[in-house]
Amino acid sequence: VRASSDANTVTLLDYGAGNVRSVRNAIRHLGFNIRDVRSPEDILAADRLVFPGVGAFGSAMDVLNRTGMADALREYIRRDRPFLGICLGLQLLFDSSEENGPVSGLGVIPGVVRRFDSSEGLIVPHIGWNALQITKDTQLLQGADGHHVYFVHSYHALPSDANRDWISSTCNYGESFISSISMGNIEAVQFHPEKSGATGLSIFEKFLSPNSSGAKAPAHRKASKLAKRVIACLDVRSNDNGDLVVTKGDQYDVRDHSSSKE
Amino acid sequence: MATMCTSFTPITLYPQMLTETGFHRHVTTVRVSYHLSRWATLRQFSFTQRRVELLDFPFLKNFSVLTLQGQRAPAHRKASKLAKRVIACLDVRSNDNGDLVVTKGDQYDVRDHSSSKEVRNLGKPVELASQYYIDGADEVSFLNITGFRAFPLGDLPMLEVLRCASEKVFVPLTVGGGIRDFTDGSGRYYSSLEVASEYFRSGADKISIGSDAVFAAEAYLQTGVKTGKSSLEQISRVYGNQAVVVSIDPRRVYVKSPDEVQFRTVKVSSKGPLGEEYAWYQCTVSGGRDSRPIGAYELAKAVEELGAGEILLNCIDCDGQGGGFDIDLIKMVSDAVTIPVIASSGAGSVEHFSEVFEKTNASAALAAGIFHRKEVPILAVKEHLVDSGVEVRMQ
Repeated sequence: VRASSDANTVTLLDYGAGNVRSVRNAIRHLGFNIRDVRSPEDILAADRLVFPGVGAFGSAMDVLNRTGMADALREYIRRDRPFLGICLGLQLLFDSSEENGPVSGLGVIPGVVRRFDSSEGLIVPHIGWNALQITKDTQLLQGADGHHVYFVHSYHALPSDANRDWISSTCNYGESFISSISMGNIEAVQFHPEKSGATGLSIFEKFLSPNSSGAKAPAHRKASKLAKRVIACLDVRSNDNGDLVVTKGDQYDVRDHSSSKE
Repeated sequence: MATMCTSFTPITLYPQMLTETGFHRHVTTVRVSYHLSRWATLRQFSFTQRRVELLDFPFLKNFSVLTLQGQRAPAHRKASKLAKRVIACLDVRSNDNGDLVVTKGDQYDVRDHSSSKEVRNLGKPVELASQYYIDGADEVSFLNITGFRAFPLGDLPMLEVLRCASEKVFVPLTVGGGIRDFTDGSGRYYSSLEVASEYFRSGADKISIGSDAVFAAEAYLQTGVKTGKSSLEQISRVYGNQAVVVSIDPRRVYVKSPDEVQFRTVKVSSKGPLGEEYAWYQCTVSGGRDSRPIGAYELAKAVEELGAGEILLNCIDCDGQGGGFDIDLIKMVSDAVTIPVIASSGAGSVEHFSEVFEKTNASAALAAGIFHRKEVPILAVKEHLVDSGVEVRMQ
């Protein structure tokens, strides 16, 4: 039995390789307290773990392996405990990366993290606001289909038959790459929800308080979004007398099912 | 996608119909299939206009368009689909009481032209930044237009502004001004890298370099050697290219013929005072006070090689005029480099934003004055861009 802890506390894995101030600010802004991971045991004791990977893949794995946190993370994920990886925090879940390497990752998801191919003039790193294409119905990304989120990265994971079940959204930059994964309670995003405006904060919030998200999420939607239109369609055809008429077929059968068969 | 048209009105397509189906401004050709009992016809037309009327079937009274298919334009420089950005900029300086205030100079003169001669105070930086974020700015830029003077680094009021702003603003933050080696009032020396590090730790995602990058580019062009010692090179090596913006402050110089100068010229869209048909854009340093022997084109190419991740392209002649961006300049520079160019100086209406995205390769457009003075809301800019078929982030 797990010790019950404050529902408003989230555990943050900051292994000291860079600046996670923005992630901390976003979590606090949403009304949550942060408990920092200081030992592998803190990971296993977490109720909700945010893992904002920063720095390079190789040095991150070095730190995680050396401190025993890599094993704790694998165990935490194996137990299907609530997990949100961000940016490098998504990439580290894969088998390996070409960055500083090849270097082995946590090996949770099949696939190799590779650099964007800049040989055809694609600008690398991929920086800026790009649209999500949702491929799987998940609570975390509910309502985010087609929304722009903020990316900053040079390496990416590509969809394959082996990892298809994990993918919850893709994004197109030169080619279609994995912008988020979701399986049970394990979530990870390639973009930066802490820099993605209201859409990003709403995603964060759905992870931090999954049960209240339904009510809160729409509040972030501004009137600026184009209203969905209801379109009246008239199917027109010429009838047997050569006149154009408006008709409506059922399953493409436009004949009247009454006796006249007109 | 199905839409319909009744009576004799020719069918009209609007850009929104396409953006809703996932196609964007880059679309050049759209195929429309008309679903009729006897015909299924495809027509192609150019989608460069704001709307397209199809007059091909004058004999039809009613018909429905069942599908719209678009084709992307041949990659227009980059194979990306990144949204164009609208950046709100705050010009921050310390007033004569030592407080940081937001100001807006016209052509880099920030003194109020009324009697008091105080620095124009346009609101407190953190509150304003937070409001711009709520209003939908894709990025917020702080330009500390008075630089450092004698502050010890730890006490810089700009750092406190950044720390507070990053608690409320959840889009990227850029800070510029005074990023160079300097010695504070107590004689302590700081390298530009240390200054930048302090900005990043306080919440900046990018820093912007002005004068220092001009000197670095001049030296590089003269010697052909990258020393690795310039602030631009050092900061981009440690924090990545994406974290370094080079801000260019050029002034238009008209010439009769391109042969008059050794710098890249453009044929200007409106002639100079003496009927000159060409201009080059001379870079300045120290907030526009000193001119340097290098053009905006040459500077942009050089700093891209030295590791800049982005170019913030101002134009002193247009600054604060509200007459639109300098399209000639922005087109020249954005065609010359592969890193993103932020168009700046001159925005006065929503149409100026669509113009710069339609006529140049700019990735972002920045404005300060019109947002400060609430003349044009950020949302109005975004809505206008969507209507014009430019892909932008909407909240």
